[in-house]
Amino acid sequence: MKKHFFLFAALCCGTLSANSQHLNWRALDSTQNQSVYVLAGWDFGTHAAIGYSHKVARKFPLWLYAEGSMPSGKNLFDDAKLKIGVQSELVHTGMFSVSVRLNSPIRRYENKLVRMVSFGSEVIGTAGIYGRKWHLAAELGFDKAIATHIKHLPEGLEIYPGAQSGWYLPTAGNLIYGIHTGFAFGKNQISLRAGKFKNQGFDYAPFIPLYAHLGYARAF
Amino acid sequence: MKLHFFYLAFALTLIGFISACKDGELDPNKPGLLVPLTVEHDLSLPAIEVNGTRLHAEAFGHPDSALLIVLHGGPGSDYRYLLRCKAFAEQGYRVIFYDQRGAGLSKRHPASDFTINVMFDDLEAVIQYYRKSPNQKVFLLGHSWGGMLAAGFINNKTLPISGVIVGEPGGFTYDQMNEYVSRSRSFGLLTEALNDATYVDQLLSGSEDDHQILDYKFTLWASSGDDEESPIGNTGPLQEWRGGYVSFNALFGIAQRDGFDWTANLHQYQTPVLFIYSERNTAYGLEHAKKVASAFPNVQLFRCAGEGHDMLSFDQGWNNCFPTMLDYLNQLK
Repeated sequence: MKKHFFLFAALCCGTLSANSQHLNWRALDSTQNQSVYVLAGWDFGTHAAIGYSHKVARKFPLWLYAEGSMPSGKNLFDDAKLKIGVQSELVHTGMFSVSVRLNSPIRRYENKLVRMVSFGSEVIGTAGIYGRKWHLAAELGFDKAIATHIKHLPEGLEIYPGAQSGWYLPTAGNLIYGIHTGFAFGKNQISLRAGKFKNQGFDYAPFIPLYAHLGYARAF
Repeated sequence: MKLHFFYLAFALTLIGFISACKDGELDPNKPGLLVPLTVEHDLSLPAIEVNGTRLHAEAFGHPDSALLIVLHGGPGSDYRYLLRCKAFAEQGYRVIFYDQRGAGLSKRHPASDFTINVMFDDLEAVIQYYRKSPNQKVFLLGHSWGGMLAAGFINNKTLPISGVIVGEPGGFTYDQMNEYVSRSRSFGLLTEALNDATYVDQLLSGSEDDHQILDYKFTLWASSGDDEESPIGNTGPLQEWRGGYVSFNALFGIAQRDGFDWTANLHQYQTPVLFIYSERNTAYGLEHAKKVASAFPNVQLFRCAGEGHDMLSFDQGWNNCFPTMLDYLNQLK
């Protein structure tokens, strides 16, 4: 029961949280309430993503979004990530802006030894300069894999027959820091995010501790 | 503005609540759930206490026979994948296996406990532990990192070694090792093998004390080397007990930081050396084998047909290598 409640809570958190395709607020006009976007780059693997965001409040910038991504590889559907979230602008003074993104990534990973499904939470704050045609910001965030279901596959159990399958929590926490920049033309925005990951203990980095996404968004 | 804070507060409250719901779930850091217990937690495992550590170790064959010390790869792997070498016990050798410090089922250590010299000291202590008399001959059989350890030991220590077999040691200098490691881990950007190695970092991560998570992740990471897209050319999955992430990271970090050159004294080692490389490991090959082996003055190069880097772990590689290794040892026995 507790497990079911936990999963429900994680999903609720996801629906109330934010977006990977960070928006340039100044480039949007008041009639634009939706956007679609695509991303490609490196994020724990060479990946591509597609997303949709929708403005849910009229008087302030609050956007819900859903994004699905898959890394490359011959087994296309063994690994995937779904993010559901929300992003909002918290501070706006002149060209200076502070935004926050909250999202709950649901991740799937499989290799020949194990299959994992993880529910997590990611919070990213962004602060920078935003003009109508361009923006440049720094971002700092934290990504936590709160609960991960680990299913050991037969080949994994050959290595260690005593391995226990089940819900493990928590299993990961990574600090995210980097830059975000882009330019806008008409209803289009092109953006670049790049930065590094570090584990929450600051002593070990991921195998390739970098991320870089090139994104295109169209608002309407 | 109030609504901003409402959403933020609600989301953060949920996150906090979820984090609090830990009771009854599995703790990834509880020993034995993801990776096997080590000699610290399972006292039934065969172990020896040497040089300030507790090593998972086993010996086969008559105690007075010539010692054959088997050195596994990694660093951070274990001797499970080399257990076929027990066959030498039936040929008149005292075969010694041990999981190196912090690796396999041996005791874990913090990163600060690792130096290259302590690995040499551990090997010397293992030899002294099993050696019954000064006349008992000692042979080393080192695979991959174990081959590097064997060469470094001969280069740095004075204890006489009657013969050495090495299987695809990355290199006896940092540059050689770096060349090989770069090639052996050169997965294409779009390959499943690279994805298997890297994607898991967002589901499993930990600090130095999170040994179970780190070791399990290391096991998953290492298994990507078995993929058919990997250049190392293994013909099947490798059987290991536990990848020692901290030991791997510490020793690899020391090598990157300080570099190493274990060739200065190898030209004095006049005993023939059996140097094995594999047919299927495209990251190694004859050229790299010749380059690495050139530090020894008297080398017999042997190409193991039909097998990849872990040539001693699979039927074809073992069947091809064993007679040559046995002939070599018997000539020096």
